[in-house]
Amino acid sequence: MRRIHLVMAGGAMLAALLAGAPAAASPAQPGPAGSAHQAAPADRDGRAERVDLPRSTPQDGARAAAAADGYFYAYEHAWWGGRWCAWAGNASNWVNPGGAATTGQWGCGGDYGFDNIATSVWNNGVYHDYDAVRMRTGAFLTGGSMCLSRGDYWADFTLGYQAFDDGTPADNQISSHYWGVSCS
Amino acid sequence: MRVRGTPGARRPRRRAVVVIVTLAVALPLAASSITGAWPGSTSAAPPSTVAPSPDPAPAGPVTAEDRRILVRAESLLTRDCMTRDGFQLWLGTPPPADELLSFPYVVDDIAWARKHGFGSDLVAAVDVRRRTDPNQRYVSGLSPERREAFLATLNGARPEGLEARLPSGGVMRRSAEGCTSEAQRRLYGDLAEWYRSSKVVADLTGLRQRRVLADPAWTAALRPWAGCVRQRGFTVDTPEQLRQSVGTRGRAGEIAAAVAEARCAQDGLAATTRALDARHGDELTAAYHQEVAARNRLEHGAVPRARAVVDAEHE
Repeated sequence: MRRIHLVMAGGAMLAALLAGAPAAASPAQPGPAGSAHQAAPADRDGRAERVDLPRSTPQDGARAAAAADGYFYAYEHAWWGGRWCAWAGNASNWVNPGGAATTGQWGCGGDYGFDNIATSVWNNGVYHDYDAVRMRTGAFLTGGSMCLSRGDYWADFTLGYQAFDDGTPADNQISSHYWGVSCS
Repeated sequence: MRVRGTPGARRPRRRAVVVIVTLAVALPLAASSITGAWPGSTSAAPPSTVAPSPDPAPAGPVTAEDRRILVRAESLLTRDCMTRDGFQLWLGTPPPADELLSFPYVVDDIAWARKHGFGSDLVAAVDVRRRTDPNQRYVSGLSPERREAFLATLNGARPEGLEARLPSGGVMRRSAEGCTSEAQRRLYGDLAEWYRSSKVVADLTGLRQRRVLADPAWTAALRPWAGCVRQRGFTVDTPEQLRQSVGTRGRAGEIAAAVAEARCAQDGLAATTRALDARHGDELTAAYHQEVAARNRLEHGAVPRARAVVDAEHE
């Protein structure tokens, strides 16, 4: 009996150690995977919560975006991940970025704001006399400005390098845009 | 799920941990190598290290007429490329002169301000012209599949291949494929170098504006200007604040504010701004003279080819 108890205790300890092993491994998870990490508790609770993870490759984004009916794209995350909006026309206030020829995920174009959200942007416009897109920090065409020619993109503002012409860092700061002649 | 409890089940989990640990090590390394490479490729290196050897061909930028020919030739080559792939493309006309004027610091043209205020009418006019543009209408009328094919043929199937590290910061990228790239490759020869140098040079504009707006001389010149617009009923400290204040005042309010801004700029702010813009422009051109020279060299080299393309069109 004693021997059996000892074996059982040993087994329980082993089980506790094994159970502890995955927990001990979790601090090693890298910081950049934070969004994925936060999604885990919802999974454990068994809730089928929809969690947006950044897209893994630019190609994924290119295919999804090109199929949509819009030509200047703004994405919530780097490398075209997360929520997005797409415009063939101007949007003077991204708090309410709707208007003609606007599209995007989850009804972007109605009462769905995209103000101070964009982290990657892409001008996949049509050939035009006015195919450069100018982004501003303010609504109604105010504030610092940045410009993208047709075909160009910025993939990741979170790196902190890109800035508007008034020095404002680009990440999560675009509040309006309009099409114009050229960027030079 | 079926193999749970068997010895083999542990293997994938261990592999996953290995991947995560590897990522944990690799990501900071990748990040530090990017930041490490940064200063050398922009502000730190250019002027001091390369200055001693004088440029053998100190060619300035191409003339406005040559630039017009370059733009026209690129349009023609792009159209030919699109036509070859079964699409249509209409060539546009250069925009009106008023639309080409921009006032990044302060509106200092009273006549322009009377006509356009801060230019909201021009933005609206461009929007209307965009929507009625034959290219836009043609593409909007295509099926989603054909539209996707059109954009891939024009801008490249995958937005990869060209890269420019901008003096102001970020990395701008574009596809090296598609008709735009093909047209530019035929004109300029070295597409990667032309993309890189022309994007760097274009980016200097924004950098120059940022430096002017941060210059103490600009701030000093703003004080009398702000006093002048205050006398005209606008209690603001900067042109930017004045623009923001007219957001809801309508067209007449916008024009009144812009005219006040332009009138008050005549007392010194306009002249100071022009001088600062020229000085910071010269300094940036000197600091990035390699990219400026590369862009100019490639454009000068492209002019004869562009002229041949334009001449062939006229025949």
